Amino acid sequence: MTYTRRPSPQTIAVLRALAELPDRWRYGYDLCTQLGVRAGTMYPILMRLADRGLLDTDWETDPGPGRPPRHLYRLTAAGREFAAAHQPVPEPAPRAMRRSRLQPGSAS
Amino acid sequence: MILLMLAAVAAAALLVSAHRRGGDLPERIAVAATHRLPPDRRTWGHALVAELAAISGRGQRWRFAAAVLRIAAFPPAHRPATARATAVVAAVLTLAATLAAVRVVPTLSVFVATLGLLTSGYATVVAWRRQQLPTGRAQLVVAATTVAGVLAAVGAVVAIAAIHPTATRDQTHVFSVVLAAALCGYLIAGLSSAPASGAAHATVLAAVAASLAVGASTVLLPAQAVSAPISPIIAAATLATTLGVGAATGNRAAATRTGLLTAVLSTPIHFAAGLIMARYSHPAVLTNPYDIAAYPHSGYPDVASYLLSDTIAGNIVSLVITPVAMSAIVVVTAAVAPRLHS
Repeated sequence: MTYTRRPSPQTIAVLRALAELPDRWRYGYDLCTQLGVRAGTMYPILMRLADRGLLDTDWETDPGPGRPPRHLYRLTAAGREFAAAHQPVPEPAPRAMRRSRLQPGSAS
Repeated sequence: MILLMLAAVAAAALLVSAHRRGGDLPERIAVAATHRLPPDRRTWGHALVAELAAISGRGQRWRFAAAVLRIAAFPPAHRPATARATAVVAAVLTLAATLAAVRVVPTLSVFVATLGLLTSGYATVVAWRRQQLPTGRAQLVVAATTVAGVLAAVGAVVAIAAIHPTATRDQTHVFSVVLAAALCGYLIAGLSSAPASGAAHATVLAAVAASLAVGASTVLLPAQAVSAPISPIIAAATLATTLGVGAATGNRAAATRTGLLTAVLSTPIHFAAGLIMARYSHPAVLTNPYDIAAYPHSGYPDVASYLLSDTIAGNIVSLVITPVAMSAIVVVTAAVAPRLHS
């Protein structure tokens, strides 16, 4: 399996959320509410991760009465490695800080 | 207006269906949308519907249903490169066709560009969704009839534009865009209504035979008999296939499918045959008092262009309103026809 393109910030956020407790199965909608990512963005990310073998999926075995079993997600071993290898990009320095660095005599 | 009416009818049908089955509207929307997912994404469709069942807030349920609609329309591509390549090739072909139209039939350049863009978009969506192309015999017959009908319609318009350019002049571009959108709609409807391999061969053949009969009748019958806004020939063919299949099978769904397929296949064929007949057998003589008064101020260089322009505009309107009228005929007939099954 090859993965040449750097994943999007949302994908990295999903990977990190899943990597926090790697053995725990998670619901898709819970990930949406935890990360503030819309379902229309979250599920395509989960689909792509599953397509690439980075995500394990399973069905709930004991759903509540009258409810269909929900889909569950957790990272595979490859997914954990991938999550560890892709840390979020650091936020760019605030503009004021950058400006102060450019001023004469501010360099240390 | 027609699209708005269709959307209102679809929304009302969903509401009634949701009320009957006990689910709410977001659930019905989600279930209907997930049926449109490619086969290899159906499991994800079940996952989305199950997830919606666990969401309680009304607003959240609606937002989730909207997300399901978006995912069903544009599910992640397994091979995005193939979809991108399809989009690029289709865009290049559209550009080439538009440039050729500008040189050869300039009055049709907007029509050609619009049709190219719409069909390019459709081809890209098919590649993106990895939709299965027709493979079964029945599917191939329907696909071939659909493509042949749409190509004949385009060819008939181009043939008129080449000889009578002013007949296809469209200063507002409204008719050009409507014609392109309608033909693309027929193409999509025909290709996506092809039944699965091995299913309903007889009913498909009935629809195809009826549409070919519509084309032959349009050519053979006098123009006055076939040039109504809603063609009596298409109405008769749609009625006959719906009634025949409903009575033979006792199956309302099969009768509805066959009737709609007949309308979808036969309307572009009727459009093309009508224009070809108008092109070759139109008496370029003004008989209507209104036309006699209006022609000198119309700016058309000859009577034939004036009359052909009128015929094309009328046929475009017919192309748009026919599916609405035929749907009504099919729904009523399919409800009655199964009772004739013994």
